[in-house]
Amino acid sequence: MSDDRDSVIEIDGLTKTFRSRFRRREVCAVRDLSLRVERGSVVAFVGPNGAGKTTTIYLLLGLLRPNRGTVRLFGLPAGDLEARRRIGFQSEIFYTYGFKTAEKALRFYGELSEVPLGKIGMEAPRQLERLGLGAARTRKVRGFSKGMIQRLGIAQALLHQPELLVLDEPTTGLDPEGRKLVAEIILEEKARGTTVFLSSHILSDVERTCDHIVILREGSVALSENMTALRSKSDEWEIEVLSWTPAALEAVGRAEIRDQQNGTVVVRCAAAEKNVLLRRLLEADVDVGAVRRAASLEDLYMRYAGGTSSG
Amino acid sequence: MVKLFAITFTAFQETLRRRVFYIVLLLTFLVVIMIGSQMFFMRMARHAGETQIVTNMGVHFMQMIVGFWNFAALFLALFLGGIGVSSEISARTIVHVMSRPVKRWVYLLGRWFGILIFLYLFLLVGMAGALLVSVWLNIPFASTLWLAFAENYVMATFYSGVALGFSVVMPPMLAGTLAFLLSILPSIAQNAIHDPRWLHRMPALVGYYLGPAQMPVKLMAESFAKERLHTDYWLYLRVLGENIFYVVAVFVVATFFFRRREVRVR
Repeated sequence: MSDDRDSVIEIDGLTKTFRSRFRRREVCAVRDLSLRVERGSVVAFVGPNGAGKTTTIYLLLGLLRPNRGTVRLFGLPAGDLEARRRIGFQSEIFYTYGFKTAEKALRFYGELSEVPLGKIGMEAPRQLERLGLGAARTRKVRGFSKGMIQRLGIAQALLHQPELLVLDEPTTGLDPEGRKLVAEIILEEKARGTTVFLSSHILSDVERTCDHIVILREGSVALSENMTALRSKSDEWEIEVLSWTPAALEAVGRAEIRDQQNGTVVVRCAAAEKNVLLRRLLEADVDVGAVRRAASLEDLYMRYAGGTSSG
Repeated sequence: MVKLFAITFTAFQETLRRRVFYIVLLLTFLVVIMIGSQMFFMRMARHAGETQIVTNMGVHFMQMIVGFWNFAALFLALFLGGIGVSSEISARTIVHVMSRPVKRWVYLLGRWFGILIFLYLFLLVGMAGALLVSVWLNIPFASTLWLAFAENYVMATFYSGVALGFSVVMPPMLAGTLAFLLSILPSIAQNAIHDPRWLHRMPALVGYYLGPAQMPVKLMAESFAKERLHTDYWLYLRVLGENIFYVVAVFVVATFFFRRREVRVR
């Protein structure tokens, strides 16, 4: 993604295997994964369930140790105290102490993140307001709904204004309003210069907020692509030609011919060339079956992730 | 220091809310009430002028109540120490703590201190109750009573610390059980340490020195209504000190292993 000087996350040949109880079976969760995340970018980390996203995140945080390969954050080994000081993390479901109030919970996490007490006093209510929990700040967490707990999880990740925000499916359990809010917060953090590493199943959120997408499949990177490049690719159109004749071939010219099945041919072209190409085909009396936008992010996801997503 | 305090306070709050505490507390109160109800007979004996019987019964009841209270405290120490870390892993709350700049030893120490504060308060209530009843029933107590109380505090520290230390490398229940077995190991081994057969003597010696130091007398039982002659305070203090040193050593070793342990949540 970038040269090493600007990399906030550097993963090289990362492999993590788990042994089942009594060491009978070995499961490879992450396989030879290499990745660079540049400072200030928002990177989506997507893949089907069991692809190794959460394991990779836990390796990033130093909670797990790799079998092979290296993980460095800000040039420091994963798990280093200084690196952890600069990370804000939220897990898929925010597990916290139900007996604490929202404010006390934030105070606790702020203290652990070395935020001065005076700053916690100012920042905690601000983050709670930002996430729509202002009215619930003195309520105990055990009485919170799932969505409220998720919002609190995001608040604790943002409290110490981290340089790197690691969000593991932050919109789990959130309503559309909450999802929109999270997307806005990601964009706000990006504007502040925060690097965001976002694991998500919600591709529309990814499309809206991310600069780069990494699709993970069976623990390996199946696709790592810049979103701008991806968008330009998805700005292509496909014309389905039902009767493939020499006249059709001549009309297509230099346009890309993609699929050929049972006499049906799919021709791909840029959006600007679509009308010209379509006119040429119709003038050549070619039978056109369909005209559609080429691969969306979802198509790409299905292609690279293997279409086994449950999310 | 702020982090240690935050983890300690949270562990204490968490311990206060554990169901097992309330079950143990309820059982302890039931036993205390059952024993205490027999004090009705003491009033009759006092009216009858049987002061010696009153004292004897009072000492007996006192020992039973204090003994049961200490037993409850030690059970809680083993249980809470054993689940000190594993409960955080099963609740997954550990993830958001360990992903922050918190050193492993600070985390472990904070968890232990939280449990210790709870146990010390529990023992303090028992101690205050015992002293009040002692004054109420005019039961004299010896100067060794303070050492007896100190022994309870040291044992609570020992059980919770060793169970917590063991729980870093083994399941919580096994950790608690092993910590308990370790504490009774010297008593079991004591009979065989002078055995002429080396095959019997050697494991007994290992077992004897592997366990914590043993108090030469039952201080609590000896502290009411009698005064020991030639009390060796220095010896008692040394035993308590050795056991504190023992648990600190176990804790340091546990921290070493905990530093290398992965935080796996399911």
